[in-house]
Amino acid sequence: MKLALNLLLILGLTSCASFSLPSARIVSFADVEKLEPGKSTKDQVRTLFGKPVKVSPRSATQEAWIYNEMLSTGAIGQKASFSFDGEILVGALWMPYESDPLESVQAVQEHFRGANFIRKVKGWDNQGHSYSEDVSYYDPGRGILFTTSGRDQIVNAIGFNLPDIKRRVSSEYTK
Amino acid sequence: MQAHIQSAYVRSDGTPVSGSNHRAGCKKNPASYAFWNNRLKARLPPKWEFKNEKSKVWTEDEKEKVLEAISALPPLLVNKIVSGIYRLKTSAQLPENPAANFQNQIALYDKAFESKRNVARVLGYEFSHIYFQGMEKPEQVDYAIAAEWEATLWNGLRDKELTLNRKGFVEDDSQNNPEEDFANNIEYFLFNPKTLKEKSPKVYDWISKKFGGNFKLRIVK
Repeated sequence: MKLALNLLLILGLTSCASFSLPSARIVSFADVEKLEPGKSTKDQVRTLFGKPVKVSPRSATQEAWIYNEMLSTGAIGQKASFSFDGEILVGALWMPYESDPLESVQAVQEHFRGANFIRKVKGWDNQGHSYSEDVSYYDPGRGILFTTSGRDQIVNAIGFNLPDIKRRVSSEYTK
Repeated sequence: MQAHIQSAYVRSDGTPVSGSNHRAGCKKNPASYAFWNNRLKARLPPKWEFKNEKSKVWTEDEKEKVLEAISALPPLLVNKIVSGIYRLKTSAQLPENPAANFQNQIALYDKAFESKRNVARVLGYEFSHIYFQGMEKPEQVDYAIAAEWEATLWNGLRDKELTLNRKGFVEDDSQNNPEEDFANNIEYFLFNPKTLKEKSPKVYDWISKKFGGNFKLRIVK
């Protein structure tokens, strides 16, 4: 009985603490770019980055793997997330921090030279109460996204999902 | 201070305060009065998208309420970047809205001045939105960590999906996005600190640490 209680306590503590731990390996942008939504698998993500610090279920078949990083302030921030439908990667998101060159809108645009980003300001919320100047840039042809927030317009996330054309083909295929 | 009627109201600690009739010149106005008095506008804010909304002329009573409310809020929150506080009739999007904010401007609707409302609370919430919008990225990241926000990207989405992982929150719409969450939490920190401490202790601690001990409502004499 005592052993069972101790086990429960240890499991409880580990699960509570897991989200505030940094990931064992560095999640580099170069490695994230190696992945291909629609093709890459959980095994590939595990091979590149190790085990996630957290798994967030979204539906019966969908879950996101979360990876963290310790910042210079000592705080543990989310570094990346990989979204899966079954075994297949359907979206990847990576966060530049602390003067990373990819925090600049211009740098991201130069990195993805040839991309046709559609710029969208978030604007009013659905209650007409608050106006957000957060911006998302999305290239539907290549499935590349990056976002900025607030007045300083610094990039806070860069991501990849399935390009529109491939998504249409894939949904037609599954019909 | 001009002569005005002070309506009955309930303090944030629950103490009822009866209405009174103030005589003109009974005390000197705080320095912030002149600054903010110049920012009270009776027209639609520039670039306002809801063209079917109507502006109103401020009454002296409303002006006093707003200026007193601003004096009661912590100076750290009352950002002078706010270029105008506009008096509008009713929100076209949601008639229950007491206020709205847009590019460093605040609109106050009739609902903000109803007897059940606390103007300081309404304004504190709007100033909190504007504060968040002006925060630099490291500060926003720090808040997102403390408040337990998580970002993911899914097939078919053209923006990241933000999820609040924290179990306790003070208002349902706190789950909408970090900015809404922040504004609600600052409002509760100032006006219902006990509730915030119970529901989101880590956020309560983050606000205490960030803004310091003087971040509280001030007594308007």
